[in-house]
Amino acid sequence: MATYVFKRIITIVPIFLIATLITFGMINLSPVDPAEAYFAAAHIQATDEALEQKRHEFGLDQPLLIQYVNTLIKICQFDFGISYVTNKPVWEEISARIPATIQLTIGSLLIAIFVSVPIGFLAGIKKNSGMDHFSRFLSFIGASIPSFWLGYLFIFFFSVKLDLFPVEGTGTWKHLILPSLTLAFPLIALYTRLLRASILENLQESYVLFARTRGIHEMAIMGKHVLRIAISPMITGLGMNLGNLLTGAIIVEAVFSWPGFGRYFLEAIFNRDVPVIQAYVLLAAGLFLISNLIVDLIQMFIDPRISRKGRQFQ
Amino acid sequence: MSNQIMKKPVLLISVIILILSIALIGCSNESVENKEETTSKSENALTFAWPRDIGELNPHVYNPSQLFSQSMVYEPLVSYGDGGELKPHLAESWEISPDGKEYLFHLRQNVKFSDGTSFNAEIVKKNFDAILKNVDFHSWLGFISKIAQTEVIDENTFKLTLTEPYYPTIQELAVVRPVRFLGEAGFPQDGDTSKGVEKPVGTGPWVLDDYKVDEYAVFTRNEAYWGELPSVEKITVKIIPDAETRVLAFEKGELDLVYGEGVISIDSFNQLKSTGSYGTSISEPVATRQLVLNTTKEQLSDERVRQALHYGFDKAAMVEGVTSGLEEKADYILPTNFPYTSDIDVNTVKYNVEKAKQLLDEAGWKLPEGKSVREKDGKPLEVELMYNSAESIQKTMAETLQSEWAGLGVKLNIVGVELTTQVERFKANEFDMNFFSNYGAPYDPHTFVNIVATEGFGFNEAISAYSNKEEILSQIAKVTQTTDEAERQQLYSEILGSLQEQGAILPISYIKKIAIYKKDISNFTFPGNRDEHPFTGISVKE
Repeated sequence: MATYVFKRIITIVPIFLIATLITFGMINLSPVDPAEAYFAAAHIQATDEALEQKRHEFGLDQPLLIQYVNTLIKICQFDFGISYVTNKPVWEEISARIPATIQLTIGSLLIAIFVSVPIGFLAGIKKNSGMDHFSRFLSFIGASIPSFWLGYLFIFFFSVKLDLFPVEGTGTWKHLILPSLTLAFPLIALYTRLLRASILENLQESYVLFARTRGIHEMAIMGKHVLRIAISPMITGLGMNLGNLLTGAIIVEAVFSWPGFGRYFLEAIFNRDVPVIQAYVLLAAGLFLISNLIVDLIQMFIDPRISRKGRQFQ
Repeated sequence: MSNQIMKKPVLLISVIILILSIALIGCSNESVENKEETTSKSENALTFAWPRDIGELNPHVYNPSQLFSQSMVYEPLVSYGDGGELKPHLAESWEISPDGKEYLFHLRQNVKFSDGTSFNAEIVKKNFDAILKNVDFHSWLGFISKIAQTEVIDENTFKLTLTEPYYPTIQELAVVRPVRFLGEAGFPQDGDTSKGVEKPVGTGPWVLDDYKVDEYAVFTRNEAYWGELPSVEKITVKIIPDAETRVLAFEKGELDLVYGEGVISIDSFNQLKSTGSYGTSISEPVATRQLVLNTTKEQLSDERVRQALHYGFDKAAMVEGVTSGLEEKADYILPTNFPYTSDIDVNTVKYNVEKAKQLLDEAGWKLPEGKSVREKDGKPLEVELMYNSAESIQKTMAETLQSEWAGLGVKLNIVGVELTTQVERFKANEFDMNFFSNYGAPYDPHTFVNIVATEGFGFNEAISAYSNKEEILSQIAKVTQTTDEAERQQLYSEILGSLQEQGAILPISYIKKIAIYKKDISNFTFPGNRDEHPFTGISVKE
């Protein structure tokens, strides 16, 4: 088991290297000169000398390969450089904003679990019932409405019309509800259907039939046995979507003025703040890799056959 | 055994939920405490929204610091009033030597910084010297790179010496950054403010009281302010990046005021206005939206073609239609409420399709039988218009022009690009037509004519087909150096008239600022300076 974990961790290194290369390449393919962007963002009409000075300051006058190697060395030391716009270390800027984003992510994860488990469960055990139709409706909506639009709708109804929640900002749990719900909506759609399908599948299993013949109460079979097994694919789903939640927060943070690092990233894109863009993409890549690793480990913990299979191929 | 495995997922999920909940409660509790302090709102307060964080309150830097917040805390020697009137501010008066090189400023006495220290010639010099440490960085502002010497004459007299006469010096001193004054306590050890300031100490009517990055900033009235004390005691800025959210927050009543350029969509503005429940204001023109025609391109090198394009679209209808009256049809390349721009003698163009067609015929671009695009020597009359894809007004105007000019037999291809690409292509002379807008008060008219003359900015190359280009350039070189007021006006009239007459710079509309506010807000006025905050004189009914 330890070797399996070790091997999984080792595979992360080359994937991460490729991610740095792609990020660096894409940023350099962009026709935009960051020095130019810097002045344009400040509404300054820059002279050539000022541009030249900025380029030198940003290290853009060095060969690409050296720029890349320098970047890589710094990343290993957790140094993502200095933001072109604020002149502060990128890591400092990002780490100040991460807690807000994590708060939002956790909020939406909780909402997703609390809403999708009961709905998915009921829709599964009572196929074609009202609840089932409702869950289908919910998942269509969740899959098809873009989150910024959903955010506006929520603000309009729950905040402006009904005056239940504030429009924007942070502070109380009330501030957290609407953005979390918006972020959770696509997940609710996904997990409801996932759980429903999984329950339907389990209902076909022979253990359900045995339990019924033993005369166990129907609700007990469903609650104690079927749900326990059927919920396992959801864990995988949760882990896989952790990265999505963090990156998906970009839009939601902008709509709800949430002071997280998704919004910071958005501004960095407009300002062509290359070190910030680079740091964000790498962090997102790292997050996906780590959450996938965790999912794999949890699954192995639940079903040890996975690591045994791994050993068979040695 | 199987039971154990079955239990695990549920157990695991429960544990995860428990941990997450605790984390969440921990987070929100902490912020609740923070919030309570800031929401204790006194009556005489004002809340408005701004798209970006106010940034560092450092008077000597640019992005991401926001101009309005810098202007609330820091003040200039000279202020720019309506119509370009330059009024004494921290300088009570000034004398300019006959050769136009020496400026003697008599500073206002009894001005204190918000920390109680005195404003005097020493601190003025210290600020100038900090700015001059990064002279390249600030060289876009003409007079900075011409400074030869800064001197303290006595406690309240400061002298600025230039290397050559440059009349806009006084006007440029009104600019929001970088020439505003930071108190002694704000300077870092080495005196270099470009890396940051210790604390935001200014002489202005407002003091930063509370600030949370990306969330809000609270300014309170500087009770020891030397000038007229604002009637509002507290101004809270909420940072709301999204325009639609700003509108919703305003509708809900979380904001008292929304103002600026492009801060909310035109539709939202008109919709809110139509409810009749709010007060609205539209400013005087702050800049002109122009269309620049590149005369180095073959099709546009003929003045008749450029004039034909100008005659060939209904400007008034387009501006009204696209901006719903928030902008005004422009007849001149600079707004006429700027210094030296009110009296430009140039023929204004009136919509006339027949005249446009006639001009194109004269220029040799004929419409072949059965075709919709004019041709000359077998080449179609096809031009490309570049616009900033993030700006909906530019896009819609481009589309309007496309359909209007199609009626003349001109094929207009429109290309949306990013702002930085737009700037780069303009500079590299890789465009047929481009949108541009001038900088506005207090930068113009001298900044505009200066960039027209600057090689590598775009205009200089774009007007290459002008028969009197050299003359225009030499007039521009002269205009900032002359010390004779009458000659200066004469030169501006000729430069601006000449630039416009030959049709490479085509005025489209005057850009204006908008404001929408609750009915209990009165005396909202837009400052003459485009970048200055609008809170002077504003009051809230109790």
